[in-house]
Amino acid sequence: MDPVIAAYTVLLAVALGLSGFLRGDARRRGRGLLMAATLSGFIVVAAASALVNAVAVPDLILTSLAVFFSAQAATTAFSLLWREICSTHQARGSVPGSDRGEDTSA
Amino acid sequence: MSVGLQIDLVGWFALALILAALYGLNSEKGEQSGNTARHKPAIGLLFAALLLMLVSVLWTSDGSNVPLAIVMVLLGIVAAPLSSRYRAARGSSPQRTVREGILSGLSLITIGTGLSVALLGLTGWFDMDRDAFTWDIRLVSVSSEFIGVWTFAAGLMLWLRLNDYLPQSSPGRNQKRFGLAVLALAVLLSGLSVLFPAYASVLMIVVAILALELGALSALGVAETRVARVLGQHTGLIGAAIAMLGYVQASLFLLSMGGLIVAAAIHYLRGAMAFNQARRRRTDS
Repeated sequence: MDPVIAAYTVLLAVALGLSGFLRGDARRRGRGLLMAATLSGFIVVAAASALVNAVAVPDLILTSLAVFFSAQAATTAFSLLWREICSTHQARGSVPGSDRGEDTSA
Repeated sequence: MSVGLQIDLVGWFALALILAALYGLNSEKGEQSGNTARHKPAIGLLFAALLLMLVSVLWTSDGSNVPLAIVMVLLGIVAAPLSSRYRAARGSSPQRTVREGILSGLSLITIGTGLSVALLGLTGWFDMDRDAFTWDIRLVSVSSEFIGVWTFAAGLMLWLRLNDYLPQSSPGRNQKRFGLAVLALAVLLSGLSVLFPAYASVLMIVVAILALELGALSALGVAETRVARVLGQHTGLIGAAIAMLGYVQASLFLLSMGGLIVAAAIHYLRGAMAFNQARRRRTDS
């Protein structure tokens, strides 16, 4: 791949992301971190593409482990983000101070 | 790792879905009127984009490794709830429990992504033809190895601390200096292994050990209030590693995903920490 195209793409994506995330609620940046974690779960795509193209046995072992761990990370990230959104729902509807302390097992 | 990711056509649609989802998740309009109906479909869109990319990766392959890939993905999905169960220490307040549960989950995410980045860097290192082994591929391999191992070690240490397997520590000044020295040494050795490929394998092992130590240092040497910040930094590093993997795999999709993650991490690191689940403000952190 042409390094110039790659550099342009990364620069544009960073600029787009920065300007897009600025719209978010400034008091609620924890959700931004959860979103970043969810997006980094997309590494499972890179790992899967490396796995389906692997030929030698060591490659197969390494890349299938990579797919395993990245799928686990992606699932955890999605579940955390989902609970954050759901608790936004509840927080709007309920009295402030009623905590959902029990619901911590992901 | 050097093989092309021939799915950028599908990747554009997935990227459009992701951008729409981020737009929906960042919108404040719904929240102010007490109606967050736009947020749940946004997560659905993100999930659909991930599924679309996975299916298209599996679809365009020659099919020999597809069952293995599907089994590994399913195993990972099944293992996630088992591994991320969080037990709080007795006597802590519910708010604190929720916050530490989230941080524990986030450190699990950094462990998983760090490991897979390191493994992908390793396959790139071993897999490469010697004559096609140009300096940029070497650079990407070494830096993703370094980032992956560093992130894995930091996430593991943070997870152990948050789950009370390690004693709480407070940072000393010498510890920070030592961490900086190790970082400088690791960067120097990585540069050497890029410049002199003859000794690269030995240097890579040394760099991996240094990265492990660096991760342990950077995770142990922070006060507990700054744990979220360290996790944010490592998420940004993972984004950079994804962008580099995208460069090697010739995938514009992964390049732009890496850029988005870096942007999100930068945006997070500039601000204060507040999870809605924990319903805390920065005064009590």
